[in-house]
Amino acid sequence: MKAIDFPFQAISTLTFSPRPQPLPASLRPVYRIALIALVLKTNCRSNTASLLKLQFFNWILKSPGLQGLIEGRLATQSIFTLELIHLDPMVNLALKYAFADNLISVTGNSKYKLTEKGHEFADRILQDEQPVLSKERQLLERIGQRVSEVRLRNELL
Amino acid sequence: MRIRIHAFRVILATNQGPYGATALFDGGLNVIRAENTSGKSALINGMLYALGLEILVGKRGVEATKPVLRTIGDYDGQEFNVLESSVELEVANSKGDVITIRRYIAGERDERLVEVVHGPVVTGGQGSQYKVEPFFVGIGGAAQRERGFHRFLAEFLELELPYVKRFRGEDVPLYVECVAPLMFIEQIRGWSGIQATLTQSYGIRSVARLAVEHILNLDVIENEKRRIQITEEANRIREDWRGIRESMAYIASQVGGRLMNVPTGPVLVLPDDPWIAVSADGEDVTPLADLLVAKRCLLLESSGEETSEVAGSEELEARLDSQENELLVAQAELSQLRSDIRSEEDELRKLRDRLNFIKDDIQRNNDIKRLRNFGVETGLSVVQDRCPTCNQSIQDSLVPTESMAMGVEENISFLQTEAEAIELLISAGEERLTRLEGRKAGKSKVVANLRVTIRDLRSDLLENRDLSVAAIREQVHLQEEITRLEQLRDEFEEQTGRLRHIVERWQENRAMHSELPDDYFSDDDRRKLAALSECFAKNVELFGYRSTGVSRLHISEDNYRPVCDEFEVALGVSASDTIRMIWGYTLALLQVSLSHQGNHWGVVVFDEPEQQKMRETSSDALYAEIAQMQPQDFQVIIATSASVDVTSKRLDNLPHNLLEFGEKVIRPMQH
Repeated sequence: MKAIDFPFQAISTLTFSPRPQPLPASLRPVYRIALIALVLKTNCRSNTASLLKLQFFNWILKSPGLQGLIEGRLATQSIFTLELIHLDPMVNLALKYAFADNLISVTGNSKYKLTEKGHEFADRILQDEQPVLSKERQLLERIGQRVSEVRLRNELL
Repeated sequence: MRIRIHAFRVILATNQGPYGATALFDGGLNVIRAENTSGKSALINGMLYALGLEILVGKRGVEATKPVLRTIGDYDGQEFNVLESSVELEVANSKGDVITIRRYIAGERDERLVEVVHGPVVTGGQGSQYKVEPFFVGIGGAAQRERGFHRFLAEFLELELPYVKRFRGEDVPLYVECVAPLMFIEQIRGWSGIQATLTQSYGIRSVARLAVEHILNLDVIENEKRRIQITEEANRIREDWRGIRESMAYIASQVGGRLMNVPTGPVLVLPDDPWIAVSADGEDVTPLADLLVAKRCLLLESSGEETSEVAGSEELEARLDSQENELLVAQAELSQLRSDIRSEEDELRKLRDRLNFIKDDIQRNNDIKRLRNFGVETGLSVVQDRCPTCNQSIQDSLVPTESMAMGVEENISFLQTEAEAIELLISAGEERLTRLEGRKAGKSKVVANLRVTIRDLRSDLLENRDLSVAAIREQVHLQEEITRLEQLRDEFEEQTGRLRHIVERWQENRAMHSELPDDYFSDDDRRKLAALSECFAKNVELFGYRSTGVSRLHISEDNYRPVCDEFEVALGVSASDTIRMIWGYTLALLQVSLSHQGNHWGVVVFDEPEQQKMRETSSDALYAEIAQMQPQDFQVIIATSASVDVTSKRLDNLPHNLLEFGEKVIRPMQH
């Protein structure tokens, strides 16, 4: 590569200023919070889920390459183990935000439940005339209630 | 003027018998006077409803009409229940043709149905001899489909609505709903600002500006449309050029050569003829035409050999040897090409994966924008970058970043730039790949031919025949090769012809582009805008506008709204001055349209203009200003609840048509 002749003599001071960094959308709090609300709304009995279940759904949503395989396995005996699933600390962080913002509450047996406000938020997303989060919503709707807490515990733990 | 409202009638069938109201209008100033809560707005809203313009009230269908027209009302202490109701608006166009527009409110009839009676039903008495045509409003296509009421209305009134661009989809006529907020000032929301009842874009780009441009009949609409057409044609030309260039490059790769002298984008002049450079054995570069000549010479030579003595075995040995060497080299080259192709494909796959990821991420970022709106509506703190617990500002990121994270908008444009770069890389890679594939195909053929030749030479050596099989086969191959090259050459020439045609189209397109006016506004446009500025300033001064110096007010060329020293004046002026501005602006549009051949319908409706405890002198000035205009040119309908005394004093000495309704507008009807 050719070196560029830089007029260093002419420069007396160099200033460095920080530039904002790009950030993958999945690291924005509102994106994760919205997904958590959607999972609780569409995939959980009485809109309540354990941390394990939320992590499981996060894993599916995050692995577009695996989605077909995972979905196929859901119909039969699954082969998932806890080691296979990527446990994502971002989920816990997003849960903290969601809890602080009163979207979810924590039940007696340490599960997460969608609050009234959470329902409102999820409904706004689901009733949007522009299909916001359409891919994610389609996937969640296809899976539906097939992943129960009991099944997850039996197969994963 | 394009429309003259002759009369409006409300007809209610109630459990107490028929109720209703009739209003007859003249040219010039019309004043509907009635007490507060007497049902004036029921009349005005009813007129909008009849025209299918109820969206100006902010609602669709019967919801937009006042309850007295569809549920319960009272008169003289007696309540009545509405069983069935309808409104009738009798209007004439500029040619004097009269129609009556009838639309149903309560009852069995579909609210989306509009009946057009071709005759003066209200003023001329009920007549069954008139033709009745059904139309629809309030569903998609009302402006365009044959049975759409607004399409009929536009034709009847000769509105000449321009076809305008939408954000997506095809062009549509500028909807009447977009123009009407400049002429019909409705009571509830109409007085909050200029075009206040234009609350949605209908998918039309800069709809608010277009509405004003249309009313003033500015040339910019036409110019802007031409500009867009020319740009679109330019894009099509670029697209066609790319397609032809690709197929030329494909032909070049078929003969194992490279396309020369075709720029990547359209040009005004093709500097040199396009040609195909064939690198024979990776050495010197020859044009395809020369290659053909060389092949033909070879064919001639070898057919000479055929008749001569069969070569001796020594010579055969030597040729076999050289051919085997050639085969080795060719095979090595072929395997090199294969591995090049594989790595190119790998690279492309990676790039495509990355592109897909970026596209997904752009989608997600767009989703986040909407999610934030929902979050704000639901009252979440996180979406406002505030900690829900301690209310301090937080980063919009789940991981701590060293420097600041980009905002969502910025992130999207960042990703878009990246996507564009990757798309460029991909198209360059694809081009390289086709070239490599072409070279591979050529090389495989060479290898196959060499193998066959070697086999033939071997059998010639063994059998010692009179006729060399190898020589004959070589001839056949040459013959085939020549035919194929000739075909490709012809195809190439055809494409070159098409390329020249595109050059012509491009010249035409660029010529049209250069003919577009440099200045956005035409001279006529400037005259109209200057007149609007002047007229507006004159009006508001008459009406007693105080907030800023009137001399500093003018109409912005950016959005056609009043500005004061380049700042939009809507904010920061007193409430009553906002009202004066709306009076002044709405009237100025009418006046300038009349004096400069604009497209104003010639009708203005003010529902309760005396808002915000307006000073009496201001209202006096408004009425006087309207009354001094030529009554045959226009119609202004004012609904007011100012007292009888004030109104009659105000109208004294002014030409006017007063409709006095007193306590109740809707009354029992006499038979």
